[in-house]
Amino acid sequence: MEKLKNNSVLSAAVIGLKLLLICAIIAGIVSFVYALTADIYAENIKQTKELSVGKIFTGKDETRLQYTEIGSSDGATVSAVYEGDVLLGYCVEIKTAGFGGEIELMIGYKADHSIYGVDVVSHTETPGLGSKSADEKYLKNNYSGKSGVLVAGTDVDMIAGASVTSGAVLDGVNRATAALENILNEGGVDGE
Amino acid sequence: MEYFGSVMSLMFTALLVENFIFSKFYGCCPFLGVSEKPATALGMGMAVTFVITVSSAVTWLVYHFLLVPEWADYDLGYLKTIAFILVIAALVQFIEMFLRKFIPTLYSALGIYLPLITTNCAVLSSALLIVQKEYDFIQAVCFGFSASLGFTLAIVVFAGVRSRMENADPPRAFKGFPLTLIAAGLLAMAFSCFSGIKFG
Amino acid sequence: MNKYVKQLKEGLLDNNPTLVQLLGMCPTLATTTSISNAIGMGLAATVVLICSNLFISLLRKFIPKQVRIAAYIVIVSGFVTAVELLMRAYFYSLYQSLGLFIPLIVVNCIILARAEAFASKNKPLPSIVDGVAMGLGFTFALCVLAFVRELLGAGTVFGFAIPGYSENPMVIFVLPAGAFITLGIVIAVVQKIRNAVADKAHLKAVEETRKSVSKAENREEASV
Repeated sequence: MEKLKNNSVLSAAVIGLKLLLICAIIAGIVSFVYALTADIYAENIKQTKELSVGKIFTGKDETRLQYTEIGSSDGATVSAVYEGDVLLGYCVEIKTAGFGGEIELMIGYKADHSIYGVDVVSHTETPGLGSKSADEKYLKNNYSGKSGVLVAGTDVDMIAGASVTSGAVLDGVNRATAALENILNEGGVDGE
Repeated sequence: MEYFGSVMSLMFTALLVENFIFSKFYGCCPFLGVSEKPATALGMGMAVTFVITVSSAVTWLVYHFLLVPEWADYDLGYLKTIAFILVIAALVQFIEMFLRKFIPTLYSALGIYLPLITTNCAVLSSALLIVQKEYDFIQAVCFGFSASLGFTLAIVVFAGVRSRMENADPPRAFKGFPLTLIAAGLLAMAFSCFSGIKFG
Repeated sequence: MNKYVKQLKEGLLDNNPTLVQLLGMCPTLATTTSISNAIGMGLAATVVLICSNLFISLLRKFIPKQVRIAAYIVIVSGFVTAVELLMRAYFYSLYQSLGLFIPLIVVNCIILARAEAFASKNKPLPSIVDGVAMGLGFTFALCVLAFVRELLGAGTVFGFAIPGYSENPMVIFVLPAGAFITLGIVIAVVQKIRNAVADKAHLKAVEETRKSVSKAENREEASV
């Protein structure tokens, strides 16, 4: 009886050890891949941001564009954008809830706080419908040059069949504007 | 008060607007597989609701205290998929043993559905969504509860529809799975009327 | 070699994991709004399937029977995480558009089903071929569905607009409701074909038995 009990304890321990060994091998593989890819991933994120800033501040010399983070408020990250030493304006990164998930927006402002341009960095909206809100022409016609709190219908056209997405973009832009004012009023940079 | 309102709006959104089945497709396997009779569908729905609510709380704690703790300077966020699926598998096992021992009536009602739940993607996806949306603990539990209630609603309503189709005589090629899918499509159309509604 | 060709055909057509075995419905319905998403999803799942099949087959004698499901889940989720990390490094935009459905490969029934039904009982090489066959079968099914949905719902093929139609397409097909309906119709077509094949085989069998019966009768008559 005693022996049997011992045996079952032993076999349980062996099973446990085997499972642990499998976990260790898998953990090894995963952390190896992580170490291999972490830097490339960080580079990807940085590149997407640079591309987006470049897209918004078109016509400027991209190699001389620089941005420094000056604060964040309400989930929005605000950076000041310089060309060389001259303050061009600001850009705000913000996430907003769309139809199929989160939409990442990048909004560029001129130094006088009017909108320079809006870029949809990433989205998982329905192709052909919600994705129309990410269309460059649409964003340019509806947002560029405007300032203050924007209203659906009067300032910005909603897209038929994609009112959720275009509303989400509008909401994101308004929140970004509020965050920008917030941070500049706190006295982030003196650029005016 | 404002916080309460935001939680309520998040719950209604998870229940109807972003329904797990009809707008996100999370948990379609049990939805199509275990929806032949309203009674079994209700059993499955309740078991899923129970597991998701508990697992939302546990995975939130695991993520914020083990994987990415605020006070420590390491970030194991990339291990979340592995950690969550193990937590869920262990949790389902544990819930099964607990129910069998202490609440046999509930066990006899839900027991046969529990083993199926580990591989139900609704459970894993709600845990991952909570991390992605950066919810705090209360929001996480409320989200898990209402999202899984949305799953239950969908599967029970659908089982009602299917029980009406039992005596239908479709073309031979459409018999069985295809007809089920098309009925689900019509129901999804009905649910799409919730899309775009904003609560709060 | 012939054996492997047969295995491939089995996975792609006769025993297609999605269209015939009806496994893995969530990614099938969710990621087929465009062909590029479908291919990305299908190939990601294929890679995971090949790796996990190989690994489980190599360790098939080592993994204790009592805890095999737990072991499979650890192995599969490990490879899924590895694939996710690789995708966000090398296919960043695809990673962004597939979103949560990459980690959800873990709970894709196809992978656990192949681990349990095939890899745990077979040698490494056939297991790899099985992974390729089933993975490509899954990818093929996703592509068929995505082609129909993208064509009808967005008016594009591989992202290229079809003039005259893409301005005003039948949007319902890219919405969730369209996913269910399109998959229903595709599976109905598959069933139609399978029914026809089965009917033919049945008819042939009936014909043959009739022939052999009449032959036997003839013989009986002759002997009488």
